[in-house]
Amino acid sequence: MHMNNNIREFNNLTKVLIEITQYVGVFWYNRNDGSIKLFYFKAVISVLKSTFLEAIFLNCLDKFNGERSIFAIYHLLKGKKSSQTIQDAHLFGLRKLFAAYSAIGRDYLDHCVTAFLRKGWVLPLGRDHHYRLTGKGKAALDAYLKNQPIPSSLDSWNFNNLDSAFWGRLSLLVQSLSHMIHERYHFYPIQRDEGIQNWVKGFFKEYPGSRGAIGRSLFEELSTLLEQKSDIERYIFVMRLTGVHRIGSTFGQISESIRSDEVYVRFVFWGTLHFILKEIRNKQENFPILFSIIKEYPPSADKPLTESARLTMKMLKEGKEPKQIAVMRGLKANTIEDHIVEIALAMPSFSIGPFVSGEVADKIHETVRRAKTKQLKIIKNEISDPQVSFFQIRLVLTRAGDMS
Amino acid sequence: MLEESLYEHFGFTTFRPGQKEIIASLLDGHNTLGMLPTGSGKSLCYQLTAYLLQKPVVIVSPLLSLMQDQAEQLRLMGEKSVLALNSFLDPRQKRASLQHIKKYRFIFLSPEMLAGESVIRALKDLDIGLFVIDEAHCISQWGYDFRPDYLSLGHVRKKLSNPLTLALTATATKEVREDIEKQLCLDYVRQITSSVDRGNIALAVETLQGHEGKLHRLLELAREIDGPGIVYFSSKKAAEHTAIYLKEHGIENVAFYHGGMEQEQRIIIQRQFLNGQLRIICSTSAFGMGVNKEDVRFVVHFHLPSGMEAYVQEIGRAGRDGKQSVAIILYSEGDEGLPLHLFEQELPTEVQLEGIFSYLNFETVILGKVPEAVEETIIRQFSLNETQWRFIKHFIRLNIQKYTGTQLKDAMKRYVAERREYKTEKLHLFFRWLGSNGCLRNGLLRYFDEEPAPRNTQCCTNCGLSRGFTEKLQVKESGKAADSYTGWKQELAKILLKAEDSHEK
Ligand SMILES: [Zn+2]
Repeated sequence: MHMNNNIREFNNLTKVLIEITQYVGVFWYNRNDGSIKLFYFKAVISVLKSTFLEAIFLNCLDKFNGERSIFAIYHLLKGKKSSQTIQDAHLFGLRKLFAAYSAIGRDYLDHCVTAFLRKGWVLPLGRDHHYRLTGKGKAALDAYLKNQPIPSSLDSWNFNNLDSAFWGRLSLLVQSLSHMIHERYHFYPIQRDEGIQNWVKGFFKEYPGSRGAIGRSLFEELSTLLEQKSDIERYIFVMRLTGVHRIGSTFGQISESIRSDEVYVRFVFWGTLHFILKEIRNKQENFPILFSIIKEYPPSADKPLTESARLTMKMLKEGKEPKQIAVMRGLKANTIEDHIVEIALAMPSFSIGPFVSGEVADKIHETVRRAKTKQLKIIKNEISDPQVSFFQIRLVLTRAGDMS
Repeated sequence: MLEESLYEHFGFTTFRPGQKEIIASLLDGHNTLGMLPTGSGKSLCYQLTAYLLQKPVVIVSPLLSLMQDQAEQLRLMGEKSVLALNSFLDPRQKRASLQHIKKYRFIFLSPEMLAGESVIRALKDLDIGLFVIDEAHCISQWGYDFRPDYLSLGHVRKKLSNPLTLALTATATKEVREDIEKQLCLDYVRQITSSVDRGNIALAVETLQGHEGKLHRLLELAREIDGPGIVYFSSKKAAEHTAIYLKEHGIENVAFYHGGMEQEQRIIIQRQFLNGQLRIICSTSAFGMGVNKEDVRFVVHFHLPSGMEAYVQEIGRAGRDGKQSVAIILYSEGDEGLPLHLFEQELPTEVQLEGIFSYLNFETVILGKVPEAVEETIIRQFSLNETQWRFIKHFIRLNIQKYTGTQLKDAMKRYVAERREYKTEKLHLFFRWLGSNGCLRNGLLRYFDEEPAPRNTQCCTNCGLSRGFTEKLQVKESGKAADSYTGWKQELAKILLKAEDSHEK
């Protein structure tokens, strides 16, 4: 495959082999008496793993700075919808990674951290599963990111559900258009979901114009957007598309073709989609076709809430007090407070005024700045005012923006 | 004339063996059991019948992917009134589909959908022309792919006032066919079977030295044979590693495929294979069902298949265009252990059963329906896998009225022992075939109680295959290498602009 030189230069990183010692079983069948035996022996198996994912782990360890356990990384990348994880994402400036890699395995994370420890990249702290990055670790992280930076447009917090819905529809729309323009009316759809297929059918009913004209417009819209991206981003995006002349590539195939890390390819791809989504939301009139793909989805300022938090919000709107809500629903007051923090994070317009006075909020801000920590206990000790609750500190932190 | 309708609807002038007989039998109003080998156009039997009867056809299909494949193929032919009802539809979609069920000519269902009252009610309103059970061997406990939820189909048929029924299968021994009739409560069935033999597929068993030996031979084959091929493995890891091995040794257009991959990536691989962008797929048995590729030239079993029936199904993906193809088993001593072990894991052991029943007796209340929490405990405590647990649940549900307490346990133990013995025997028959010196094709036919086939030139390794014949296998076109990439904008233009427009770019 011919490749742009830029892309080739860009990807001088290759996959790394990690050796894991495992037990492997072999079955032995005896033809004479039909018996079967199972032998185990120790074997060294080479497993292809992602260096980029290691960089992501290091990046999270760096941001958490020993204030969270490694499981917080797992929950963050998985996108666990708990108040704690959502709050962590905001507090430590890791929103772009929230739900960014749901395929993450706990074992692999453990395995990597052990390797980091061996290399002296992390320092174990007093509490279990808590680590801080060493100078050596920071240098390793910088080296990683210099070669393969986390895409700047990646914004999984805002787009982690919309992106796959958008991609499903876009990829099938492009495939259908491509075939129609080239007068091929029968093809195997690249998306099997009936909802996506019905949407594409509906699209063509709504746009009765010539297919050629729609194709040209979509070409212009996508070109305008891709012009603003780097070579690698364009390459990956375009190769994922399916047209009349070829089926699009899998992430694995793309990563092979540019000798890069598969997880990295995925992140770049999703980053490009997030960029497109942000642009077409902001400049709807410039991208009528692309915007029509997502027009029925609500703007992303407000994030979806967990079912339970949604109910709490409804009751708050009806004028009920948190304590009342807890009693009525038979929940602990703590749980309702978690909900309120979740709501505050999900809705920038939600006012925390009713729960924290301006004066107390200022005091908390001041303390956070002075103590340079996000650990609630330390902040509370520093304030040394029994009237200020953990709940209030958490709420104020939601309004502190990405404070890293 | 049936041929005229065939041409009108499908553009073919002649039927493949068995198709015409099955359709004629249905048109005469006979419940029919059709056994046609894989890749010989089973679905055409109900498709053409649907057009001729001018009534809706309900098709029960065991696997979601298979159902989707068939629905897709119908749509691809321009058929618009196709409905695929499965548990992945959200409730709103499902309700809407059921409301408009009369609009559809082809209604595909998974067996678990038939457990829902709303579905049965909607179906009762229909004047069902034909009730089709695809992969009907799944209903038989003696079949190689038993699915307990198929057992309710006989009951469903009754609820729908016994519509005209077609049971289709590719591979069923005589006793399985009898069982299908019994379980579906079919009286007066006409059985139309055509031979499981596929004359254009040469059968080869090659004995090699261990894993290494097999890898080398596979590489050789991949270099020798030009056309598309599928290589079957019994583990995901092995499929992945071998695909990488082949690539590292210069074989292009290879990919692996297994159930552990995301759906989108799996679809891409399938489509690329159909489209000629990929030549060789290293796969678990998850690949191939419903992949309608005509020109697959070779199927290799890197690991032994799970038995003779699975073997016949899997090699049946080769040579659908009728041209000479080859199926090769790469065998090394001791390989029999793997299918034996895998089959052992399908059923609970006696020890497991003892344990579970002592646990369940303790909680007598829950015998009929097991709550989730208890379920989890049982699965963990007795280290059951999913298949084993599903089997136990179905057995309890089906027999709870017949037996109580220890009786139920004894019945299950008896059943498991019987089934284990039966399957072990079947597997040993398969192993014996594998190691025999006689004609492999005739051995295979004997297994399915069929008469020996007339000898063909490229029969099997025991009859002798001509040297280097794999190199001469005809290839339709030398693989469609994807055009080279010249730049993102050119690529985008190729996709979205007509040729004359894209020249300007
Ligand atoms: Zn022979």
